[in-house]
Parts: sequence; C-alpha cells; structure tokens
Amino acid sequence: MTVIKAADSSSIRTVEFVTDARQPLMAQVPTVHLHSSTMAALGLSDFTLSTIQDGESGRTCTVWVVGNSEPLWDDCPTPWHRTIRVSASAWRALGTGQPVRSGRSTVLSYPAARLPVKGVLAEQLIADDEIGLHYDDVVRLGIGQWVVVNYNGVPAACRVRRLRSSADLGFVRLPLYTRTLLGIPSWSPGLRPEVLIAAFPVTERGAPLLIAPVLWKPARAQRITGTIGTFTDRITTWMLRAPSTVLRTVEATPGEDQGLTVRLPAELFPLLGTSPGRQVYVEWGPRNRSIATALAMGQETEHDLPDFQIVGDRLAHATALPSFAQVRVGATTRATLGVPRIAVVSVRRRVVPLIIGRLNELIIPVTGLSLGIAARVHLRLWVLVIGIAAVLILLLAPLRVRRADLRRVR
Amino acid sequence: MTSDDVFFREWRDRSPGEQRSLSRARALVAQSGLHDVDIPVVTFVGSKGKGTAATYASAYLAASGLRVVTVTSPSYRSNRERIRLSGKAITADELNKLAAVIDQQAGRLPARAAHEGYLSPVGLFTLAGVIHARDKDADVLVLEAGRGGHSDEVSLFPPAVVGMTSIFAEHLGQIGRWIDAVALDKAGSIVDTTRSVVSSPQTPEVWRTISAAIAARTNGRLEPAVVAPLSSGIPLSLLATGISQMNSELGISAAQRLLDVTTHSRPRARELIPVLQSVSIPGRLSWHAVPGTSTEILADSAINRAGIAVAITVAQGGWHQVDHVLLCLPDHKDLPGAIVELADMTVTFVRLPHDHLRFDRGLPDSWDTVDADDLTRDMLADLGPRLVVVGTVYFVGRVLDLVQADTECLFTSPDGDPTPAQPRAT
Repeated sequence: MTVIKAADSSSIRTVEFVTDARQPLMAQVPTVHLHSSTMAALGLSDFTLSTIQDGESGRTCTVWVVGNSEPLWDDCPTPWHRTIRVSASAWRALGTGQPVRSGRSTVLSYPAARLPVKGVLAEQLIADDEIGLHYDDVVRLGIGQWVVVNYNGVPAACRVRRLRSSADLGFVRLPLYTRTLLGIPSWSPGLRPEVLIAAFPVTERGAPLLIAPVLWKPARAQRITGTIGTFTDRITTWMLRAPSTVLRTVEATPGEDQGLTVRLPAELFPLLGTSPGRQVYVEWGPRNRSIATALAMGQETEHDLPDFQIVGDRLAHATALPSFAQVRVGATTRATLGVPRIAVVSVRRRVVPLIIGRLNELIIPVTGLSLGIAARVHLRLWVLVIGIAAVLILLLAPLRVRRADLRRVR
Repeated sequence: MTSDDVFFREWRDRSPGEQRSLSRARALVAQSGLHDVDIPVVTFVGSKGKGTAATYASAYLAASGLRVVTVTSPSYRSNRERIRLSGKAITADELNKLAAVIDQQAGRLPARAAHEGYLSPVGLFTLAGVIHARDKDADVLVLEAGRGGHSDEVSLFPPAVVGMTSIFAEHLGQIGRWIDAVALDKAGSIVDTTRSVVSSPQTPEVWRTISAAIAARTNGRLEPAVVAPLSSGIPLSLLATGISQMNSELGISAAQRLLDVTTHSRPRARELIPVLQSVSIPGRLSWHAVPGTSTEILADSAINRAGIAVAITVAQGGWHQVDHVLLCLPDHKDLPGAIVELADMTVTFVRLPHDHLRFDRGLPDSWDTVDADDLTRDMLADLGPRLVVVGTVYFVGRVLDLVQADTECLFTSPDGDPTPAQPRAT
C-alpha cells in the first residue's frame, strides 16, 4: 500500500476517473495521462507526483501525471473530465495481475498544497538539495525528511531543513541555485511565485517508495552481494568523501539514450572528485539511485538539437538553463530512477571503482616493491601491516576530497 | 436613432457576400483625426483567450496607476461593456456621444460602393474606444482584435506591444484557407514601430509562420517571446482559472513589456494584489447566484469539448455535484464533443432565436430542449441548486442578464469603486 502522508487533508485531493485503454500507453516510468483541459481545470502541473488506486483491487502505486491533447482523445468514448489513461508501466506497478481495460474505476490522489517562495538567508545554510520549511508546515503537510517540489512541471526531491522562525511560517525557503534549476523567476517584493509541495511518498511502514519499483525478486546471492556492495560503498564514501552536485536533466546526447552514461559539464569533474569515464551515482530522492558512466558534455547548445525534439506545447515547458546546471541523462537511467525527462537530480562520484582503479594502476610497482622488501628484509608482521596501511593511505590520499570548512587558510 | 443603430447599421444593411471594408474604416479613422493619436497601444490577437489577456493586461496597467481604456468584444449584457475605462464599462451617455461622433464622421464618407464593403460593428467599437481614450486622456489603450490581425481594424492603430494567444485553425475560408494564412494575418498586426511581441506557446507550424512574418515586418529587429506557464512569477492564485490561466499570464507579460518600453515602473505588490484579486470576467468560469432563489450557476462561454470539460471539472471541484447543465451550441460548434462530454449528466439544450444560427442537429433523447426566450429565473431554480451554463457568448450573456450578473466592472482599479463581491462556491 502506498500513501502520501498528509496531516492536512486539504493538501491532497482525490478525483475518481475511469480508464481508457483503447490503445496502450507506453511510458518508461509509471505515468498517467489526463486531457489538457482536465489538467488545467484541476490546476495540475505536468509531472506532478501522485498516486492512483485501482477501484477493483484497491492496489495503489505512485505515478507521474501528465496532460496532453493528442488526437487519440478526440475519439474517447467517455467524458474527458472523467477519463484517465494509465501507462503499462504504471499498471505493472499496481500489480493487479490483470490486463488494463477501459472503464475501470481509478482514484487519483494528487498534492494541492502550494507555498510561496522565499530566498535563503545566509545564516540558514540551506544546501542546494535542501529546502527550508517551518516546523508547523512540516507537521501540517505530513512531511518527513524528504519532500517533492514541483514548479511548472520540473520536479525535485529535496531534504527538509526545519525552521523555527515565525517569518518562515507558510513559506518555503529555496536557495538561488534551486530556484534556477526549477525555473522559478525572480519576483517583486510581496509577490512571490508558489511551488507545489508534497511529502515524498512512503510505504505504510514509512520507508521511501521507489517510483519505478523492481518488478523481479533478486536471488539470495544478489541480495548478499548487494548488501556488501552498499556497506562497502558507505564505508569508502565516508573515508574518501563524495560531494554531490544538483543538476537538471535534459535529453541524452543522440545515440546515448540506451547507454548507462550521463554527460556532465566538464568543469564539474574536479569538484566531484572524479574524471570523465568514471562511474557516478545519479540520485532522485531517498534510496533511489542509478549508476552511470560520467562523460564530459560537449559545447553543443539547444540550437544544435534537431527541431523534432520541440513538440507542441512542450516548446515552453521548462525555461532555458545555463549549461553548467544541466546533465544529459539517457532513457535507461531515467527509467531506473523513475523520473521524467526533466527533473532535478543529484550526481556524486562512485568511490569503490575509483579505489579499484587506483590500486589497479599501481598494482605492479607496489607488488614489486613489496616482494623486493620481503625478499631482502625480514620484517615483523605488525611492521608489515603498518607498512601496507601506510602505502594504501598514500595511494588513496589523492582520491580524498577535501571538505570545505569555514576556517581561513593561513 | 439609438447608438446600436450607428454601430450595426452598415452590417445589417450589407448585401449578400459583401465583406467588411478595412479601407472604409481607414478612411473613417483619417476623417476622425485618429491616425495620429499618441497613446501607447497594446493589441491582442489570436484564436481564443484575447478577452482574458486584455482584461489582465488592463488590470496590471491600472495597478501601475495608468488610465487604461480597454476595447473588447463581444459584450454580454450591453454594448457599453465593449469599451471600458480602468475596467469599468462606459455609461450609456458616453456611448451615445461616441455613437454621435461616429455617425457624424461616417456620414462624410463616400458611399459604400466606393470601398466595396461595410464598416463592421467590431471595428466601429474599436474606433469609438480610441476616441474615448483620446477624450479621457488615457495613458494606455488595450485593444482586442475582433477577428484576424492585419485584416482587422486594430491594425489601423500601430501597437507598441502585441500579445498573441494560441492560434489554431478557425475562421478558415474567412481569414485564409490554411492555418498558415490565419497565423500570417494575426502577425500582420505588428508594424515596424512595434517594440515587443509576446506569445502563448504555439504549435511549431504556427510558430515558424509568425516568427518569419514578424522578422519580415520589422526587418529582423523583433522576435516573439514565448510566455511559458508561470514564467511571470505571479502567484497562481492571482491568475485566471483553467485554460484561461495561460491567457491571463500572457496579458500580464504584455503589460509588463509595455511598462518597460514606455519607462513606467511596474506596480508594487500592495497595489497589484488587490487589483488582480478583484478581476472577475463574466462568462469565464464565473459563479453567480440566481436572485431570489438558492440556485447558483457556473457560467462559461465554452463552445467545444475541451471548454465544457473544464467547466464541468471546475464545477465538480467547487460543488462536488452538478445538478443540471444548460447548453447552447449552434450546429457549427462542437456539438458531438459536447454530447460525449455530458453523457452522464442531466442536460437541457437551449435554442437561440437568431436567424443566422442553426439548431437542427440531432440531440440525445434524454436531453430536454427549450427556447432561450422561455428561460426565466424560476425555471433555472427548478432545474436544481447547482447549474452549469455553457455555450455561446450570446447565450451566456442572456443568462447573465437573467441573473443580473455584474458585468459593469472587470476589476477594481486602485482609485476606483470596489467590485461587488460575486457568490463563489468553495
């Protein structure tokens, strides 16, 4: 069972629809389509994260809501204001075990809370992947540690920084960079844009919910290796650090849609502590990440993209963004994460392959040196252990990312 | 002779196949000394939503402290509503005076045969609006094109800023045979002195046409700027509901451009918020009470399936239940779409007593049919406490007249009288 926690019932609205399954709706991630007129009347932005509940089985899943007015709607036999099209991926996520058919009752629950935006005060130190919310608003909206923010069809999953000042009650604090990524325009004093805000969907037990759940059960061996891998990753990341950066996704470079690659601005690699060709994590929300090989982005601009990428009302879907804030993400990675074509994601380096690569580069000289020392000098065990540890530290030291601190360099 | 006679006389007397004459309107402009009126003009062209855009532009400009004359069409309850000063309809006396001026000047024109066409009512109201703006020392003139752009009388008044709502295939055969021709005509309202063009998102085909036309008309100086949803930064709660949201944002963006090019400062929030909150466009998802009864209506000038879907969704959102739908769609509108959209609702179909409108298409057996002349308040009340009224502007206007809806004031300007509160479903 999926629920969006909301203490305030007015922050979640429900509407009953019937399915239209005359033609299958193919979408990589669980998606439902409403007619554009219904979207406008409900005041919904594209890619609002919502839940649907099948009327017969009572099963629920998380979906992205998208509006369109494709010609298919013209022949729709049921009223548009009551019709919903459910993607095959969403239907699989529901797990009813039956094929989707028309006329099936489906309840859509969507977030409706909008809060006006404020900038971040210097002393609040809200990071780029965080938002600031007053404690009372957090409780009222039933928000946990994570929240989904949407402005004009650009969704972002952010951590919540709880604020106590009464000046923050009824507002959401967003850093300038986050506002840029979401495409929030500047405002006149007292006239603030409003963002759609909702708790991150969780299971009944309170665990974060994957939008694109794994539909197969991993084997025992896979679970064990996965657990070991996660544990190793946490340890090594703690040791060597892996700073993350927040970027907005754009279409993959033509030809790389199916590849597990992402293209990042070249100037970001030193900040992330990695280099082109290395692996990175692409993350959207808690415990939802995908591994991809990071490549440097070329110097192309939007104008280099072929015209056919600009389709109908998507022309003005999201405001243009400087190239330093973009990451090109392929369809496969987006499907793994369960995010739409435009979303705000975090990227950070994957440390384990870096260590392995480093060791691999130096394995011959280090082994040779070790064998030479062992053959010539009789060492005690503890000296050998300390020596190896020292060598390892020296080997891995360049991989460690220095933490930014507030102390002035003397 | 009433003022209506002046504005509608040539249209009523037109010969079969006779078209409106822009050259005759141009001659009237010159005759009336309107060709050199020095008032910045914002013109709205497009297929649908121009009135909403013009209203929000006017409200924004009025909030900036400017005197704004707005000319829109058609009207709901009175032709006075076509010309407004700072959101308020002109008085009957003012309209009569304007009609007298138009009548006097038009009387000096050569015979209609010389111009091979008649003066259109919409064009004459546009001219009257310009005269009113001149007489009242208006700071800004906001014009809504009647139909087309280059072929409409608004093209006689060079705009400083042009706002383009969505353009789609309408009036084919009247403006042009293809969507390209329609788009080209709309873009024809732009002249070499136009300073800025803002547009709602268009289809790629239309976008290419209008971009090329604007570049050609301004020697490549101007490019249209797309107004993306929510790009103005105005809170959603201050914009129009439903499909009109995009048009309201377009209107505000056009107004902002005009303030920028005329070096006026933008309004402060404390002036702007009350003005935008007071905007009430009758017949655009507007809520009204039927006097003397407990019945409420939601009125919307929806003429196609999408518009009806929006009206029903908004009504259900407000009331949770709709008791009855009053629908009026002539044969050339999207009646099949309406039939599907209202399949599970109780509907009464209303016929208008207009000779030029046909109501001969088949209707579902479950629908009742009445003539518009038979509509009364008691009849509305008998249909149920929650009614949705959708259809042509003329029909919605009749219902608004029946319920004595306030159509006098579109918004409260900072120095104006407050708009009477409208009953609003929650």
